[in-house]
Amino acid sequence: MTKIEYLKELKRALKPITRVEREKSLAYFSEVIDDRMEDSIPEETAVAELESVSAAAERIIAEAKAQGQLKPKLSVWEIILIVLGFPLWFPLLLTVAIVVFTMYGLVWILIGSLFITSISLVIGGVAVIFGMFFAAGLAPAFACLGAGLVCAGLGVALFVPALFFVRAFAKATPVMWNKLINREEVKNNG
Amino acid sequence: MDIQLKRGVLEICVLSAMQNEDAYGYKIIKDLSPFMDVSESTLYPILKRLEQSGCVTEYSVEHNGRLRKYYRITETGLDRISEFLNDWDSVMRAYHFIKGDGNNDKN
Repeated sequence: MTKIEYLKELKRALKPITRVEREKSLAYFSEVIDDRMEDSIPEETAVAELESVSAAAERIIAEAKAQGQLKPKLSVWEIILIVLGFPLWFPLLLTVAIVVFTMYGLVWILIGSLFITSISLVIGGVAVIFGMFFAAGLAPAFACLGAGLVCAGLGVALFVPALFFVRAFAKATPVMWNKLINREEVKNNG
Repeated sequence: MDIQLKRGVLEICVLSAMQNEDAYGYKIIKDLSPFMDVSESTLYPILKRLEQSGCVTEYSVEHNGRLRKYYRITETGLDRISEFLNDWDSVMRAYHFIKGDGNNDKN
């Protein structure tokens, strides 16, 4: 098992404790594994020598329980309030979700438009270049060639930023998603 | 060994490991390993307890591009060690009594 796999499993096993305590525990285990590896122990061995995830999690949770650091459970009143407030909070939540998803979709549409523009310019440019063979006279033929080359050139030039935006936004998507989820968790803990 | 007693002894051992200089998790485990078996997951709750009871303080230092947490023993921690050593004398007397060493002397 690698260090990342161990920490991922531990994180999952430590769900019952507060986020702050979970992060502290993960930082501790990450540091211990790093220190072992610095001591010329191979990563797999360094992880294998640790206690199993379930045993480690059990100890941490037991200690957190003794110190009152478990995630607070909802009281009966809070559950009743949530149920009664459903007609109020659900439409609000839905609106926020729709706005967020629309904005997200809008960015993809903008990037998509950039792509389509770029491809259209290239296709159009090539078509105009071919059009020169059907032009009546030399001057219009050269005009076609020039216009076609400009269009195709613009298309190719636009393709580079379009590709950049696709990559950047595709990379940013999981990061944004994680931030959204974590913020929800912080709200729940607070 | 009784769990409570073992826990108490372990806490003192961990405190002793940082008596001469501030220590980090892995160093404490390495220092203690010739004397006892302590796993990382056993040490973590002990360090947390010691910190909460004011026996140690913690601070982070950058090390090889990452943060390493160091633990420093406080006056309270040092008092805990001397208290333990004082108490241990009476525990040892009880130990000899239980083993019957006193009776053997008479014979």
